[in-house]
Amino acid sequence: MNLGRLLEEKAKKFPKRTAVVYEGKAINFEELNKTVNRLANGLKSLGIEKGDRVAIMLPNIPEFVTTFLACQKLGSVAVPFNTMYKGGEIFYILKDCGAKAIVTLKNIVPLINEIKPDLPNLKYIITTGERDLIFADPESTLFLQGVLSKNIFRDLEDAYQRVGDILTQSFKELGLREVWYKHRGSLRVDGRKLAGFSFLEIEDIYILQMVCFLTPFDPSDFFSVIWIPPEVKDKVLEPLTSIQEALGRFPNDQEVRDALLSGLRKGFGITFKESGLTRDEKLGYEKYKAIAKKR
Amino acid sequence: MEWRVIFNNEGEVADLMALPAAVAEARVAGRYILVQKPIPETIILQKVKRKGILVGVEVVIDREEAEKEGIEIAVQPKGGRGGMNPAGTISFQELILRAKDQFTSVESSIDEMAALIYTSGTVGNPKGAMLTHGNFFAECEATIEVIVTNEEDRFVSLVPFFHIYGLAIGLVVPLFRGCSTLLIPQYSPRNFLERMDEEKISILIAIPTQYYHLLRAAKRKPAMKSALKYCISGAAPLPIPMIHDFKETFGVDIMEGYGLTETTSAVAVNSRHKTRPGSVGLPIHGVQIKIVNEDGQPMLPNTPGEILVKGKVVMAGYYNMQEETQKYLVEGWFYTGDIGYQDEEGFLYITDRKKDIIIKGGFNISPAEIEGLLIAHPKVKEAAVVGEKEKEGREEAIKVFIVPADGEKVTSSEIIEYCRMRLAPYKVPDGVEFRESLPKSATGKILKKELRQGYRDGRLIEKE
Repeated sequence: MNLGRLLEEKAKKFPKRTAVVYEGKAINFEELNKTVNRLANGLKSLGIEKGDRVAIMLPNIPEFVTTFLACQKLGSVAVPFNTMYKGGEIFYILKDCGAKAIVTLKNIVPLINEIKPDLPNLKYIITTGERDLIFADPESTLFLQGVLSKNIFRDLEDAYQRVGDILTQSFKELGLREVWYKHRGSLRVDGRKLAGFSFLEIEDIYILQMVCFLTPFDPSDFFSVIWIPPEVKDKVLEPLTSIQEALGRFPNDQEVRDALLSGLRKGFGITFKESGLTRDEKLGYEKYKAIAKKR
Repeated sequence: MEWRVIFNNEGEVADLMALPAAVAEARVAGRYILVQKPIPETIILQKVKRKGILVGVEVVIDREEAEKEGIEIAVQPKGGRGGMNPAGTISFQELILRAKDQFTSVESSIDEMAALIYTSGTVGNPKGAMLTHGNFFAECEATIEVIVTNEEDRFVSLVPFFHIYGLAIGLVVPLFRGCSTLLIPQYSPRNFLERMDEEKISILIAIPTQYYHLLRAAKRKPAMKSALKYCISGAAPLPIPMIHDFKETFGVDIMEGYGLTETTSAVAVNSRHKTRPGSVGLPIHGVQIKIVNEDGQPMLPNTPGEILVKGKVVMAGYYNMQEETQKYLVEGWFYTGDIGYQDEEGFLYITDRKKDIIIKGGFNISPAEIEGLLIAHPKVKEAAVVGEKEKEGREEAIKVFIVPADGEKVTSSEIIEYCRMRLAPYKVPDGVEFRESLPKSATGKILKKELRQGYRDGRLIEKE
């Protein structure tokens, strides 16, 4: 007997009985078994075999249940760990267990990306969930985004490296001598995060998303809107710093924008022209805004 | 080459999504309809006019509160197939969509590893506890007499499944019993109470801080008509007054249990018929518990010593840690590192963590005893006591961390004086530090590790 068999047995014995309820939707044992089979096949197609470790960094959502049970059917080992872990904590576990794959939330990907180069065993990042949480604060946060052809870069690694280097130069130009960038996505001062970026992809386009903190970021107002148990509040965000803290003075928006654009200009050997959206883009913009505001 | 730059210096939070999405969409579409000139590479610089949160569709937001606080909320469109995905990752949904729904299980024996769960000790790196298929089955069988269920029962676990308590009791037990389980990834106490009614939840699995939040929320609501049969608490001590308070409000007992990652969660639980508040219950079916002194000699009832556990729920060992495994797992007995005693009837009481014991002037001092006293102080909300090595020597000093009660001011001399009146001189704290909050784990345990000297924040990423 094993845990994979256990599910098969239940699916056979009472296929229509509810196994899992999520967001008002009931999933019966038969359906659960089928989804688990699909995932087991999917993982197998990636080369996950008996004895391989599969990390699970997910909250209590159906994908957790599915992944845990698919591991059991494959004879692989589930390694679930805390979704609030950051940097060094995640790294230690993934390194120690030698996980071949991790199943996690999309919004956690930047954390994994940053440590992935030092995890030779970790081949696959499998993502799910629409749980992004981006805080925007008029004082503190500045966003830089890019809609760029993939063919500007050799590959994704190159994209992370070049953009990381360019942003590092920009921040140095501002006078932040201590800023460093090593791996995918985080610019740091003293181990703390000053700015983070990541790439999304759609067809042959990368969408660059960067946020940097101009002044110390205080999330307390935001926490009244999203219920987070008081005792874990300080664990939700990574340790952060800001340009103001690193520079020792209040930064001027304009100088930060100029430094960022100047870095991009030099880094990519391009010029900039300021303009607005085209007519087609405006239509799309209105559509997306409507989606964003829909309840 | 010329790129375009768009400035949006006083935007709305929705713009953070809508602007790049619109540009990307027009570029992707532009290639197919072959009209106009191509859209250039684009950089967008944005700041917002008001505070805002851009959220994925699955994040639960309190819209009323957002309006009150003047925080704009914008929701991202669903990603997934054809949508935007983090570059360099595989979409879970795509992975299962392409796959067949038949699968022949790979043969695994009961002694093979099913899960590897990391547990962070008081000192040192986390250790991976190797749990076998057999461990999970043993835990399911061990709890049959204390969590009596029928097929109608509906479980819910507010404890995350990445924690052994949530995984074993909240996920594997219902599967084993053929019961259903409600998944709640993110809850607010108020919303959860409603869901609990709607879904007719009969078995609630949670930790003391969650019970505390639920109680507070329930008191602000009219009478509940819940289907609750059992509530189980673990992972941290449950204050006795809360058990009574909960019974009065919800009409059910909270049954406190005790377990560890290394024992696939529970090894002792208060059953409905045999409950002793303050105790974590009797050893459960198939589990042996022994209390020993430092020489490994069994202790008499009501005399504290280290708690040892034996049975099929005990892990196979620590992953890649032969030495640690041999140290903590001797002849099938797992040395928990917890200090406690059993009464004449076998009820188990947890008093301390072995590694937390402070040795000062040759005395063994129990931090839990001092903490218990401090919490009884009306101006103290939370307290934690740790030992601190004094310069050069092995002698430890007693350091206390205090979170004052809401709106209260308290001084360190007040605290020391209070202890002096009630404790033996060698137990009186040497230093007091005030904090706004104490570091806690996902299951509400105070992380003393983070309060000790020389603690390095493991979340930081260093350059080298």
